[in-house]
Amino acid sequence: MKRVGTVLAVIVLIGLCAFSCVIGPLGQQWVVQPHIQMAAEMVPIGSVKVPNTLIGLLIADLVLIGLFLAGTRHIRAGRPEAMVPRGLQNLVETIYEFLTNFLRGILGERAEKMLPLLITFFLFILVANWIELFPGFDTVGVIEHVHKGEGHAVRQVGPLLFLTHEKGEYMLVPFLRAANTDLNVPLALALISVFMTQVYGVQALGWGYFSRFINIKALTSGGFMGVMNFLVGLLETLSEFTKIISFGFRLFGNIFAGMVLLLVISSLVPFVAPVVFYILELFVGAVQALVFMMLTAAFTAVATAGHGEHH
Amino acid sequence: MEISKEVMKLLAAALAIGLGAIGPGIGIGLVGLGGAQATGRNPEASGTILTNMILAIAFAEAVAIYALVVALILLFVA
Repeated sequence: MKRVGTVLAVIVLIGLCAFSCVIGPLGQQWVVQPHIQMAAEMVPIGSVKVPNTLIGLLIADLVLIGLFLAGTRHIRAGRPEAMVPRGLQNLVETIYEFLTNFLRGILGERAEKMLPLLITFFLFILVANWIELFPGFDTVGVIEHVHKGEGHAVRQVGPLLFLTHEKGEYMLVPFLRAANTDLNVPLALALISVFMTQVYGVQALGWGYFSRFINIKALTSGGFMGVMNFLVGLLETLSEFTKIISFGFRLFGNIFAGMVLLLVISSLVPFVAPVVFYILELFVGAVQALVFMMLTAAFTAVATAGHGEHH
Repeated sequence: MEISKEVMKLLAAALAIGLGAIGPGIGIGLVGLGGAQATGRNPEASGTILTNMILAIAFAEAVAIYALVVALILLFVA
């Protein structure tokens, strides 16, 4: 019975793929070419205009806050049934335990102080990335006159307006868009990450932490190696700034490219094929969240290790 | 056909990200090779290897990100 089910599933999948390959090119004449824009679109809500990535960000926040408030409600109320976790509490505890063990493995004893920040980074970026994959993101919105470039014609079906493939002067301003497809959000996260690295460094090593960057002691101790160490310090200073750029653009680039990929694939082959890329984007979203958290953890580990300990 | 400024911009952006992705691509491939080999030789250390591998990938990827930044600047700012 099990085998029959598998065979059926495979046949259905192949059939859908074949159907998609036939219908896909035919469908192109009905499918709207996506309008891709790097900056967030401004959605008119009442009299104010709100960036749609801000709405995506707030939804991600609400999902996270709601999940954890609901998951920890027995613990916070101090009820005895919290000792035997059930349902949502199980999920929340699993997430928390997995992440804390993972980070303690990297950072050791220093992990405790940084756990809140690092886990927040991971969960926020994960939810903000995955939320993009829900239906309605990038596709439902208000129709506006196009600002520049080519637009599409519109067609009315009942109370709803649809863009058509014909050329016209309208474009879609979606209500929802993933937060990390707006460069401001990843850059803000990158700034927080790099700033907090300095804070943890100072906490661990005192003001001597900054001798990593401007190493006057090495310069005055003289010798060729002293001058070299001073120059290395200047290089370290520069690398703090490139960190901000690479943190920010790594996240932005991956998620923005994912959004463009999904839009383009959905307009090339509207059936079945996008599913594969949705799975890919699930993976990319998780990996980027993990990379952001782990890079922050690794940089803090370097910053708190102390310059003198190696010698 | 005369090559306009617009066409040159598109070409430059495409070349910037296309050529800039070659090196990091090779680099990430090498990191993956090293990670897979290390895990094969010492499966118990797979956790540490994964951590170091992702870190090394991130550093290799940073180069591609600079190319991406250049391409985006060419497309949207220049």
